[in-house]
Amino acid sequence: MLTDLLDDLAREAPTGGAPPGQLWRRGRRVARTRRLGTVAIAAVACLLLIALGSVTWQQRAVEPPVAETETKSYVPARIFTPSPYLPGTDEQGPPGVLIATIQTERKGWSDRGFGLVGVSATAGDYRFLDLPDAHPEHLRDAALSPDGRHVAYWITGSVPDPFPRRPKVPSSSAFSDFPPIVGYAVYDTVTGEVERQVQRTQHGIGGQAFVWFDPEHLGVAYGQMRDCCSVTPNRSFVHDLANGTADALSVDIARTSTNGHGTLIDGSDDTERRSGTSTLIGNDGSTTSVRTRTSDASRVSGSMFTVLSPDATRVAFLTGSSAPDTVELVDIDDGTTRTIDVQSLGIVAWLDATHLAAYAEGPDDEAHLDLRSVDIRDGSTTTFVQNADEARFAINLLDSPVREQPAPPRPWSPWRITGTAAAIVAGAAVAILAWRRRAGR
Amino acid sequence: MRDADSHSFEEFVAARRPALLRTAFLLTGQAADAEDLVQTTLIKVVPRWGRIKDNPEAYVRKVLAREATTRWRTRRWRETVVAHLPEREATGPDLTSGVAVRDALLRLAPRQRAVIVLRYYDDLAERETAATLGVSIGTVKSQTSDALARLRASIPDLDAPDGSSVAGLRG
Repeated sequence: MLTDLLDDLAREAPTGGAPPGQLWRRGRRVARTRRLGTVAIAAVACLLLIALGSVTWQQRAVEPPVAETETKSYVPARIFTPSPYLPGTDEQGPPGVLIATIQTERKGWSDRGFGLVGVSATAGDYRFLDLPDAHPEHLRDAALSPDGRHVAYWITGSVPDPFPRRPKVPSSSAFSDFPPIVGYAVYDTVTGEVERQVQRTQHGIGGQAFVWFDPEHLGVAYGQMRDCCSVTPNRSFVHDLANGTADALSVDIARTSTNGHGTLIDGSDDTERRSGTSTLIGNDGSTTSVRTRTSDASRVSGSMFTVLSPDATRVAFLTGSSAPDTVELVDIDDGTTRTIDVQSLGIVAWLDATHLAAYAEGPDDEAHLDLRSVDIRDGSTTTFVQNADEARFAINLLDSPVREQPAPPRPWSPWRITGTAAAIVAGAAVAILAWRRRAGR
Repeated sequence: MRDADSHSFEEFVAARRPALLRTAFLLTGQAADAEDLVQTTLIKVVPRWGRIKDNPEAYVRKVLAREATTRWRTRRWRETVVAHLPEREATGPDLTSGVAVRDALLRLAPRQRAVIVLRYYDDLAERETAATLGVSIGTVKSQTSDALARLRASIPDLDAPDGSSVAGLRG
């Protein structure tokens, strides 16, 4: 009966309609309109994807090789905070001679941690240094050579008796999520070659410090892991890059500073500090105790603010108990001292015989420190690197000409790139569907 | 080739439009909507005519039914759904009249209505109905059952399509 009722009702259906020929023409026209709209939307989406790819590619583009005429080193007038998504040397190759390194956050698709960014001395570009086998938790110890050619860093590996990986003592490398430190390596920033020095130990080593005597001699201080949380007293070595040998030193170099020309100065020992003496350590292992009396020796601000002149005849200290402190000079040969009428938050290096590089608060940004050139003759200062406190410099290149270098790119996160591409594709799909539906009506 | 396609399309429209209009009228309940639906359907099939011209019936019916259940869903405001049926003649309502059947059909959801029309007017099997609407056979069965129950509520003495009384389906 339902069928009959439907048959009866269907008799009330209309019988008219547009002529078939007209329907055909309209159908063709609608199809043409739909096709054109679809092609237009797809073309726009393709253009947007190409633009996105182009921007992404430009952000990660490999810098063209530095022309031979551009091998001159420069000091950048400003250190920029690098993007955590900058490409690395695995992707772009060795960066060439570096003026500075910056430890900063590094992110990828799912991983995040710390990385070391190298700032090119020639082009001024920034890229992460993909240091093979580097221990990520000890990248802060990585040391740039005075000529910017090498980076020393701790490497991980396997040991016969590793400590269990339990995060009981987060600060201890023995319980970290990474394999123990088994030695160190030197990365060549020009060739990308890595020279490894692996120490055979039962539990790994506790790396303490790297200090470069000069571009060819690296000072290394470390102890052996005794148990989960303690290390044997430091042993220090001088590693000769030319022949690959490492000779033991009789003094601990963990708290020394370098003049970048073959001599370290250690003024950290309390006794020495009280007596106003310091030890000069040569790259051949020789030590010399020198008189470095200051006007207030008990308040010398520490070895990191004690810098030795390139000819090892003068020492610049920060003295005082406040910040900023006063700069004081000691002539090693005759023991005379002189106070420079300038306040500083730290001395980095000697630029030449009459100028020091020292930190001072920036006039506009108190959160960051600028690097200033201090004329020791009259105490006059000139800011030459802004926002410099996050960087560790190749000190022998700091007397290079200062140049405004371009800001490094700010690559998007891979999630943002993928999300934008997906949104473009999805938007195009929705637009095509909507258009085809609308055109079909 | 284009002329040949055009010619066969026009022949198909001339021959099958009345039947399509009847199905469309049952699906929409309105003469104007039925004409609109058939016209939209025929315009939509033109771009594919070259591929379907040898056996266009199934494809045209599929477009018609899907248009009715998707696009027409957005036009339900035309369908006046009321809590109570309007007053009938004083002699008492004829619950099997065209108006009553149309009202009962309009009370169904678009897909339920399509299932009923395809199954009991166009005489399609469950499998063909499922293929036409792009749903599973199980969905067709459940929609049919629900739709018949709702029709039965509106038209109590409605016979089941297999000849038995719909009332008989109650038990």
